[in-house]
Amino acid sequence: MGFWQMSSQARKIFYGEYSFAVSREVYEPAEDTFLLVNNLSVNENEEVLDMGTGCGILAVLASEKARKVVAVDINPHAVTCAKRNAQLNGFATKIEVRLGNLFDAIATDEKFDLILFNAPYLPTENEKGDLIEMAWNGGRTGRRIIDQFIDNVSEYLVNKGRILLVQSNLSNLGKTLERFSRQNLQAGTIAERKVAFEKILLIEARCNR
Amino acid sequence: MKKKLMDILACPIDKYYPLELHIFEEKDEIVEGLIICPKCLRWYPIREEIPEMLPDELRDEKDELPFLKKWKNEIPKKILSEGKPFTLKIKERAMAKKNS
Repeated sequence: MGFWQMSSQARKIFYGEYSFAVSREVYEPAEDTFLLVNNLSVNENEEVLDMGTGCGILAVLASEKARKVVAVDINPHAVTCAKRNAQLNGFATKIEVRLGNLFDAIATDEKFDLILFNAPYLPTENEKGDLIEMAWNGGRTGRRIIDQFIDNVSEYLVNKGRILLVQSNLSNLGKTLERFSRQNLQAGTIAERKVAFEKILLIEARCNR
Repeated sequence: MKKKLMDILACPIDKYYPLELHIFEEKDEIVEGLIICPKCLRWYPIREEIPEMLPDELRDEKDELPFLKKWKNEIPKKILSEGKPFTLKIKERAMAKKNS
């Protein structure tokens, strides 16, 4: 095993009092993750769904207040990582980890107060990539996964529930807002951050049924 | 995985409900087990307490066949021979029969 492999096998990320092992095949928390982290507000006893949990950082932070967190990812390495990090940070009983595409591993009877999704939002010519690429590859328009998410998310939200979605200005904010409103969800940008070639946007959507 | 999830979860492929649960190892939660869709005969592993509900195109035969082999004596014969997306080879199924 070479040095590169050894050093990158499991990177260690620290945030506050928490630490996270991030294996080589898993998306490492970046600016988009931290835009969500810094604007994360969970109320006491809420039930939270962390879609595309990756190493589980948002699931762990949400667990401070949440009653229960369901953490889902499509990457088998990510769910293993998230499970380990839930245990490592003392939230093993609060966090339920599941492997599946979007809502495939969620039952329609399950309703959440808060749904988090740092979506794969980058437009790319390469429609399908490897597992780690699925963390950011949003298809040709960057909207392949975002659209599927928005069209189905309201089914899993309680009345007055909310969604925090991260995307880029490169993947058409207007379409996101329009699509949310078609689902009777009121959405708007609540934070943004400029990085090299794009602006990362945090969108909040609320269900007012 | 919590047993309660089985009361509400549907098959990701054909949305059939309810699904069948076979428990192989259990502590506070189900550690290892198998979820079966009785309609399409798809099987989904539970490993390290995590239910694995992936679509066929993302499943890795090389990674999952050892799981099927490990629990072949606990898994319904129909799944070993006709289950989706993979089945055990005829020879391995014969061995499972002999051992059971």
